[in-house]
Amino acid sequence: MTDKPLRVDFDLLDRQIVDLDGYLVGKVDDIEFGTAADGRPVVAAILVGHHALGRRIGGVLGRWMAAVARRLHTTGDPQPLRIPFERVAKIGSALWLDVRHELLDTPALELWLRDNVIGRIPGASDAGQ
Amino acid sequence: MLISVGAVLLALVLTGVWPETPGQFRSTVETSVQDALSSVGTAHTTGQTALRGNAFGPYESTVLEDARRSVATAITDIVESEVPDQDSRRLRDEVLPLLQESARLISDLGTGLSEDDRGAVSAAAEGLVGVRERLTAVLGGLR
Amino acid sequence: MKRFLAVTLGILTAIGGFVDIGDLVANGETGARFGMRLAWVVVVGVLGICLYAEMSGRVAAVSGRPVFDLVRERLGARVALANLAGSYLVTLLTLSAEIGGVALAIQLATSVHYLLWVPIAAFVLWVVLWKVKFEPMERVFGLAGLALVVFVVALIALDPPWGQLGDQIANPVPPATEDWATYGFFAVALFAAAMTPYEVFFFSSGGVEEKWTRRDLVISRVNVFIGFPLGGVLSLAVMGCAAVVYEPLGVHVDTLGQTALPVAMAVGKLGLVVVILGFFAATFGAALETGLSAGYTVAQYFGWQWGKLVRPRQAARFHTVVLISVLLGVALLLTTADPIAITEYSLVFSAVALPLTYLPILIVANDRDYLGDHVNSPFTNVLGVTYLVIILVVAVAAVPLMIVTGMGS
Repeated sequence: MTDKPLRVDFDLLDRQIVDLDGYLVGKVDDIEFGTAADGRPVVAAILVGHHALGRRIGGVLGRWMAAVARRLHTTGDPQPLRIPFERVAKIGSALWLDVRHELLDTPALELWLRDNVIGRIPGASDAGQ
Repeated sequence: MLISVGAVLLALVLTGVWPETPGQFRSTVETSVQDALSSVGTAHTTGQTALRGNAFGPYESTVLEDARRSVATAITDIVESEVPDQDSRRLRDEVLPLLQESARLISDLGTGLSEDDRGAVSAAAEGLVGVRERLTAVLGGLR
Repeated sequence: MKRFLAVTLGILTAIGGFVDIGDLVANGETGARFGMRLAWVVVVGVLGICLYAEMSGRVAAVSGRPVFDLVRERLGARVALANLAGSYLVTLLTLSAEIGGVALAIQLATSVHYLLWVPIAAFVLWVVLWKVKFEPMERVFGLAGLALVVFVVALIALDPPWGQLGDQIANPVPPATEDWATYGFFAVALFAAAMTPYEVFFFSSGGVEEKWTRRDLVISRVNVFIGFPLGGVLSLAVMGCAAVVYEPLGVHVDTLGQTALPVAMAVGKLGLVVVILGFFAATFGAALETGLSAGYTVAQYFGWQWGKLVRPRQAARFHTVVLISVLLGVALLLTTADPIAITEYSLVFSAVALPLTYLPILIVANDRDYLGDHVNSPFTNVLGVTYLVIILVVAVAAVPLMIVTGMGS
């Protein structure tokens, strides 16, 4: 990473996240801070998901977006996708991770649409075009 | 907020049911005459193009169908409007027969083309020229 | 030689792909009512789309990210969400208009009512979006759209009074039968038709899908600076044909059949077949582009996997948005709303939404973080800002003009 200080609002938030293979994981919808050993605040993880985005947008629309995201879940306790900041390999016009997206949780909406809508249409598994 | 929404709604309802003024009636007639003129002109040009063998059946019938419908809408618009005064009534009586004549000739042109009756097509096309001139004159007077 | 062929093919595709239902309707209507007195707007609009398409192509090639992807980073999540809502609705309205245009074109060839063709056309559209590879899809319809060159042939064959047309171009004021408000309204419609927002979404996303790099910048520029102006020539030919045939008769144009008639008059039956084929290809190609663009805008805001390079299973949310958008477009048409009227509304609302699309492009194209040394030159920025002012004026004027003129009637 560059020597320039990292500005959370300008260099991280809302940026596209890309995995090792170029698959688009999501946007940096929110950030989780932690404290380093010397007491300085550090970025601990990036959060992806409509709950996180809804919370940040706020207002009626934000609450609605978060509520929809809470409804769409595959587990009992829907949480935004949490990617530890160590997994970020490079920050540029996007955030490149050093893992494949298969290792991360697939968002509930994607999973549901894949299993119930798109996956059922003939040709859904045909190679990319 | 609620009050302003209510005011806007009320204004919309009122403009919808308010009696028509002579000016509004005149502008309805003007739009109808313009639409009829457009349809008549298009139909005439289509007829001529068809007579020269430069078009084909489905296209001709689609264009003429659109033209006929447009005149029908123009007639309905006038008939549906409330006639506010004597001048408006005279205007209506002048224009309506002309619009009906347009619709009839466009219909005849279509039938002639689909039955491949060149005589009927030529006659209708000729009639349309006359109607077009009269419509142009009326439109000029309305403007 | 192969490279030359690729460049030529790209240009031809850009020409054929430039014209869509909005251009066909707006140019036909304007030619009939104003002659060539509004031709300058097409020129201004084409220059504008060249300027901004080049910027968005450059952003895509250098940063590897489509423009809409970057909008959220620079405008913030909340403003970008409002932007998304506006852009998506306009794209959806345009998609509906294009599907209607496809159905109207088939009606001209078959005389079977267009409403019966709407579901069929939409189904075929979706199958193509689902099955066909990106490049052949763009190529086939772009090249078939070149059939509209027949309007240029027709205009020459009509042997118009060139001097009179030239006078009209040189005297850009409304004719005696029209007022300034209608003149302004049609100027807005023409401008919006040339600068329709989905064109840049599609252009930059397509660049990313075709994996453009800095090396492809030249090709992208050639496509834009040669292809789009030649596409603009087709638009002007549509306007010219309507001007020559309809303006002297005082006939207003409001159907696709009328737009095609001058070609039948001048070139005959074969010309008519070609022009209807051109209508079909241009509207179908634009329907593909708007359908994909609807998916692009939403997916790129939320950061979802999008595009046709991956298996549909892997981009389930993107493909769902595309599918739903096509269905919504069809639903609007099946209310029996007139496709030409939908087109006119799509142009007015495109005009309103223009700043939403073009302001972020200008901002991103000046960002060294993304573009390094490829940021806008001062000259490009002067032009860009000038156009932004024009775009703002058009956006503010669009709805008032629509109301005052009653959609220009």
